[in-house]
Amino acid sequence: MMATLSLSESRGINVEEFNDKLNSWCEDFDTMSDRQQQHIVEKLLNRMSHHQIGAVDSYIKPLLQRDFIVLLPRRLAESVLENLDAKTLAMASAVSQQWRFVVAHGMLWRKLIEKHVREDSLWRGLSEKRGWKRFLFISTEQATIFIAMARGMTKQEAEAFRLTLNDQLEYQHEFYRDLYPQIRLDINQIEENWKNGKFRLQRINCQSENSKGVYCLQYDDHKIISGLRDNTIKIWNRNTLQCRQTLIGHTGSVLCLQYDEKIIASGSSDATVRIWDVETGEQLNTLIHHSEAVLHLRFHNGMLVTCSKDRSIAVWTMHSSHEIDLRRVLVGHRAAVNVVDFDDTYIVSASGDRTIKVWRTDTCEFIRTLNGHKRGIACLQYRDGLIVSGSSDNTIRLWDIECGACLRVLEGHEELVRCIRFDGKRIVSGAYDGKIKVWDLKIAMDPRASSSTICIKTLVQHSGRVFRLQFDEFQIVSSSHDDTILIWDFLNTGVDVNNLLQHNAGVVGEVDQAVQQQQHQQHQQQQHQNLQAGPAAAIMAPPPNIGGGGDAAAIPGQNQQHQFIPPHNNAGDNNIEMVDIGDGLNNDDGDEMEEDIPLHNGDPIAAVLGFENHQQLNIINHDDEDDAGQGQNLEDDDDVEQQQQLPPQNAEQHH
Amino acid sequence: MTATIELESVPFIQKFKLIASDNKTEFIIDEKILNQSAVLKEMMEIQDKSDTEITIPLNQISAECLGNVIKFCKHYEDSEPYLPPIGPTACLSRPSQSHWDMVFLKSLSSKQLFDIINAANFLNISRLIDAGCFRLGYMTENRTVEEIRRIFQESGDFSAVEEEQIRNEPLWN
Repeated sequence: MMATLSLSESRGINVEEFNDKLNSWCEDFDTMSDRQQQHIVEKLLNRMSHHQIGAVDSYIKPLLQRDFIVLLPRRLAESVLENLDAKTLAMASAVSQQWRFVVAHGMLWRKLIEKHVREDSLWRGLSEKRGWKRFLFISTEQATIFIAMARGMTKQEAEAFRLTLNDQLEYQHEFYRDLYPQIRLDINQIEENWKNGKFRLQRINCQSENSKGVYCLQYDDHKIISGLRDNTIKIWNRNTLQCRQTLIGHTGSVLCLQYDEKIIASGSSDATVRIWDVETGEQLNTLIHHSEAVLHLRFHNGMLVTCSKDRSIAVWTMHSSHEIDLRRVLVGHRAAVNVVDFDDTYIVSASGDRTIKVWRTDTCEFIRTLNGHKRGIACLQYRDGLIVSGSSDNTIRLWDIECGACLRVLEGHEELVRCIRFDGKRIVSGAYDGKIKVWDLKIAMDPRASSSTICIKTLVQHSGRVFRLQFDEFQIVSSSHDDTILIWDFLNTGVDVNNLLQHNAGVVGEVDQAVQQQQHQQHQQQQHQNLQAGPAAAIMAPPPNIGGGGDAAAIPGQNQQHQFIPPHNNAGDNNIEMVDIGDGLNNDDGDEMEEDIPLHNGDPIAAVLGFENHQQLNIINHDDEDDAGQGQNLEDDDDVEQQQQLPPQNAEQHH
Repeated sequence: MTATIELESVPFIQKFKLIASDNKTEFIIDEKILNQSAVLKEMMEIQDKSDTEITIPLNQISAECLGNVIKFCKHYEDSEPYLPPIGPTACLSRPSQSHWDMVFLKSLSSKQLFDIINAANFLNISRLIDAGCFRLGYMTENRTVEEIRRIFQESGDFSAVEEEQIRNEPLWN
């Protein structure tokens, strides 16, 4: 730089002579030590004018200020790179030693993984199931020890090893950097498994003695709680698949249930709702209000909503498991209400009368009716503004709750769609022909997408009607009239289920216990090997104790609403035009769900009991005689008899 | 040459005169702008405010850079105070490229951007620090190593063997 500077300022000697001298100076300069070189430059600078030094300065500055990451305070350099995605972070680490240093010492790979775990339920679930959550959200010291242990050291060795390291973050950097792509691979594999229908099947045979069938279930990492047709609730150990506990109390089939970390609420064809202690199995409360089978219930945040074959919906306030007060009764459906769901804004109900009705959660005020299904609606889920419903017309419909528009009709099931769930990615539905279908929600929501691309996979293992299912990113758990609960595991696919089935001489899905055990062991061995192979597949950490499905949490003791009517007072209440639902096809199937009800020609009046101004419902009349004539009433004789044997219902509610 | 830039002229408002590193250029600002700098805010809290105008020399910040800082703060003078999330799970949502902050910072040269981030850091103006980091992130994102090196005028200092090793890491495939 001095050279060019001198060149431009050259005076006195000619260019040739200058160049010669310059070259020889530079050669001499190169032979000197750093210190000597600096000394020379200093001497030269001292001989120059202020103006010249200013010019020199402008040459030096860009040489120094070339790189933000290097020149910024490290905290800022880290936060620049913290906002990058994985690919850019990989590129950034390869820019220079300095950049790599910032990535390593900012723990940026670890932070990136932690960010995904915080924001994405798939990552969160995987971190627990694969055990690498233990490397996250911990101190630097702990991380070093855990990583060293994952690489084969004992705890003592790891602690000693930590003290020998001068740079723990450097040591951890590679671990997290390698962990990231392994997690990505794992996630891709799971997605592939869903797409290709690759799963490991586990089967629980409920071995019910008299009436067989599993109506409802909910699961978490430790247990599956199921409601059976034989009037019991059975709690299964998720690992051993053995029945841990049987809750006896209902005098009719257990049609619906939900649990949280404290209680189980169950509804039955004995017309009662019972509350149980989820830990001890003790029966805590019985809610007697509905006059016929309780077909579905949901509870959340101190609020319980039940619906019944008696066509009404009851909204309860749960102060505690012992103190549950009836708040409102919602009337308007003209046939059995098969399903309810709600959040803080809306209560959504669906009925054999082919309609979905939307009500306000806070005031219980009726809002609108969604028409579209051509036969009764069996199932529905509602969340984040979207309703997905399944019907006896064999279709699934997606609805926008705000405007009531039907966004999409999914066709593919060949019989009544009995159960349905969806999350951010998928819809999973189960039908009366035993088939479970997995649908791509994103494609379904895209109005331009061709309907043939929406169904990802059809799963055929049940030999009877699918009654209920729940799923998450890794598995589906389904229950059926065939008296089994199936666990479809897309995370640990292990031994291919189809091979197993062939070995079992064509018995559909009969995977025996021994094989399952073997699979389990193989799976554990596999995990152990993975652990040694790389950091991603560390030893399975015990999963956390979280209520399954993330559906609800009951918090008793919420502020009490006015109780408008006594609990025993509503049955057969005026205002409802009774529709004869007694005659229909007796299908000997035991399904309590009301499939389809002929609609009455009268002008239906729906009222929200307890309201001073009764809401006039605007229901479109279906004057379709043919359709009405086909209405089926699927009824279980046993259950009906049991109902009739019930003593007159008094308020048996404990306070 | 003395440039006095009057940004606020309503009476009865405490004024502050910031003087840039050239000892000449002055910026007159009010509290709404001053308070965005945690450093200046703290400094002024222990100052006697009876004067109509308090002079603050900022020897470390060039006139051009200080002008940019004030231009940024001026844009937010009527906004709610910026509260960056704190704690181990703190996570900022990244502004879009069309966000005013990003557009403003994009209009600066590399040198100006570097200066303004350093000045923001010196004065502790959280909003500007975060915005600067996001802007630098955008400059890096979806770039190859060679592009990043070019943009940041960084020459790779890995040995050939190290380069080779890096290219074989799983993330590259």
